[in-house]
Amino acid sequence: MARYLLKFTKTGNLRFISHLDVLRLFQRAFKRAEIKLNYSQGFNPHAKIGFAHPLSLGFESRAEYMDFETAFDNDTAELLEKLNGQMPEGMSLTGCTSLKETGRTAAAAAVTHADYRVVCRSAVDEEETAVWNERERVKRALDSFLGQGSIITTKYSKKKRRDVETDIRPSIISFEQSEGTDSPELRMRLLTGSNGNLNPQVLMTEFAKYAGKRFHPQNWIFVREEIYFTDRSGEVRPLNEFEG
Amino acid sequence: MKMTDLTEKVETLLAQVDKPASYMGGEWGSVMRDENEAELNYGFCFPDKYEIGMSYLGLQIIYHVLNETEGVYCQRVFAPGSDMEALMRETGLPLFTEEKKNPVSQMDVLGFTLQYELSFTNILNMLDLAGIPLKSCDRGEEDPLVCAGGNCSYNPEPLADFIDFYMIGDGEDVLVETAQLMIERKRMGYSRRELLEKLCQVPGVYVPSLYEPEYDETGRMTGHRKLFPDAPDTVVKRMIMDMDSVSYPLNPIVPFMDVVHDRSVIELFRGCTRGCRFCQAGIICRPIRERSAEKVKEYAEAQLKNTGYDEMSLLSLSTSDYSKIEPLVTDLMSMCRSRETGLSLPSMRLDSFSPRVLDEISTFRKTGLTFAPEAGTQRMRDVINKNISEEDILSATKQAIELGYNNIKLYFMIGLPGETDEDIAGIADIAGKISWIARKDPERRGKFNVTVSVSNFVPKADTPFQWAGQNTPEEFDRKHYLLRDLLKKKKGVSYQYHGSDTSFLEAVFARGDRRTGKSILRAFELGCKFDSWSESFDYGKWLQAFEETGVDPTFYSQRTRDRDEYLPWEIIDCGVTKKYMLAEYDRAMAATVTHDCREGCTGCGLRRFVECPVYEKVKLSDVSAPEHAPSEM
Repeated sequence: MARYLLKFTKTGNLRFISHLDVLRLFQRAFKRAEIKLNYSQGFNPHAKIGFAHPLSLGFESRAEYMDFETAFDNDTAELLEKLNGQMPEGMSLTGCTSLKETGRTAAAAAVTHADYRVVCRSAVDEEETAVWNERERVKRALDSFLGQGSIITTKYSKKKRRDVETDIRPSIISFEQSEGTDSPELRMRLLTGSNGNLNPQVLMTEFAKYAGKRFHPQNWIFVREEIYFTDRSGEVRPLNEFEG
Repeated sequence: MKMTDLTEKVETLLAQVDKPASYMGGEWGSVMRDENEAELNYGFCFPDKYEIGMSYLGLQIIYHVLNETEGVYCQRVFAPGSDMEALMRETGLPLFTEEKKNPVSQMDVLGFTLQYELSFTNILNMLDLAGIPLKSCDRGEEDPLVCAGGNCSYNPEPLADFIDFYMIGDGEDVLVETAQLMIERKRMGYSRRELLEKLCQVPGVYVPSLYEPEYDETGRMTGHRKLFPDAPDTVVKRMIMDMDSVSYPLNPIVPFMDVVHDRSVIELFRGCTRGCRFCQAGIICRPIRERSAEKVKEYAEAQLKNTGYDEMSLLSLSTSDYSKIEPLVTDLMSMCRSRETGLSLPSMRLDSFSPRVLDEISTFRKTGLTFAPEAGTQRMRDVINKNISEEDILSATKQAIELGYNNIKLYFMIGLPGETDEDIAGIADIAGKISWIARKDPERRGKFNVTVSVSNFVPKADTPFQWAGQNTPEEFDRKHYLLRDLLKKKKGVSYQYHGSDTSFLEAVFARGDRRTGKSILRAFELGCKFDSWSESFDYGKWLQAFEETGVDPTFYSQRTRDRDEYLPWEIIDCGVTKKYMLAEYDRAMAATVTHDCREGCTGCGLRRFVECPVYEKVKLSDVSAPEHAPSEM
């Protein structure tokens, strides 16, 4: 038995396939590549595959992570090559590392932060693009937005059947404009995982509301750039350095 | 002319719709080529949603065959969901191909598959979304040709005004022959009319515009008058006689999203020897033609390797009738087991049901089992020629129960010719007996369930019941409630049935003539589409459409046809003679069974055209003489 962590991208049209679709895609890719996965025991056996952190439907990603368990030891470079030949356009594997066999923490449970890049699709809505192209104004708005002690959002909770207030300020580690891009673009590092979780679309909506700017999510591309874990010394490191 | 690329526009809409993956294309196994390099751009159109179309083996076969043909590039087209359609109409985005996002109107030819009558309005809606004139007579030289095939094309008349040409029967050869003619047209510059006149001479091709239907004063059809002298008197269906000679999709498209049947499928054989009298496929797919076990295994292995599917299914009209099913299943099972793949065997018959086969499949995954007794009493099963006994039903289910199956589904039909309430009660009886077998075991009590699924009988063209009138929707409803009340008293039995209104519509178009096409057009104009989806079916609009077009739907659904009446689908020769079907109709009315033709030729008439593989075999094994004399040999 051996455990591995795979890093992959999800770009272009593939941003529209769901989490379950990705799982199915990998199960089939493993079979085509003739890599034997370990299956769970029980009534309905399923392959032991886990994803680090679900990506919202419609988001692209440069850094998705998946851990899996194989029946036999494999060479990581060989695994990568075999699997890459089975990927559709829009998905490519960028790294594969071994995890400790006895590691008890799944990659998913270790996730603490994620970086996102949000890009305006300039061609779609000229007015919206123009507003966000006023870089000085956006910068001032960002400064005062982040200067607030708390940023309260309300969201309807189906479970509690009422609006629930949340302070998202502690979940924002950084939030800034990208320099020197053609289209308006913002970058952010957000808490992600069980210790706090903020969706970049929620942040963008809140910020646009605060700054009085036009914002339609379908006119923007959301890209996850990296996922991080926090090691024992408290250092925030990319998930591909995670060892299990 | 370079084809337009609508990718950007489509992508903007994808973020706003449910199931965006159904409009994406680019799936594993999909064919991505430069459409501007192709001599003939073919749009294979499935008149329903992506998840239905991608579950259909015929799509994979046709896609494969066309893309293998020199000069042809075939892309897929599906009916968009209502949310997508609304956005498309709002933003002026025309219907596009799945692969390269080209406007459908720029294709050279569109091929629709006709799988069920309730998809007819979707065809008109798709043409409309594409900006193509709906009626053949309104299309110009630059418009795509619109053709169709599939089982509903055996009665081509209801859609005759909208379809330029039909291909009847097995598609592998005729698709290529017609594609080659269309390529020739582009090279030589024939007019549309010239092309159609050439197409009508290809065996298996029916060009409706070259015929005019004639009617008598009572409104009954009396014949097809030829408008072009070289058009054939009847169009004989195409048959592939050697299944091992045709190429099979070994790299089928693997969808990203979950579709209805998401698995590897290997077609075992075409045709059926049983002769159930309600069954259209049993007649039109004759004669039986098997794929060799070697090819089946070779294809299975290749498909599993190329797709990575974790389930495989064998396809045919009656799986257990394959001549060497046991050794085949044993071999396939060991192949599947080594790949952690499940094997499912649909369409098993109750009488040839082998415990060994069942045992093989049940070692990996115990899914539910489905059987089709079709009718509740022996008399009724004799009428429909479903040659199984109650003992067959009970012993097969008993074996299944012993093997640990906890869910058994039984298919029945109601409204069959000559049905009485006793026959309905018989359905409840069988379900109760099966449930009792399981309940005798105290450990199974509460766990075991029998589902009785009832469909409404729809008389179809090219069956011995093609003369029979259908029950009225009210009569169907009465029978549904009768059965519901009888089943309430049985424990561990659940009950499903189909809506009566949709069965009524099906019956109208299954045996409709060309005049019913006006009602389809009007229904489409009134907003009917996705009629097979209960959330969009609007019976009121259909009734309005019939009313406004002066068509009495009961003339087609409920009327019992005269024996000597000309039938609108007689222009198509399905291989089986009218005389044979009439003889079978008479035997049905007398509740007389006809044996399986593997026990001796029953003279259906196919041998007028081909050497019947079953006949050859029977002759060699010297089985007793046929029960009734072969007709028109």
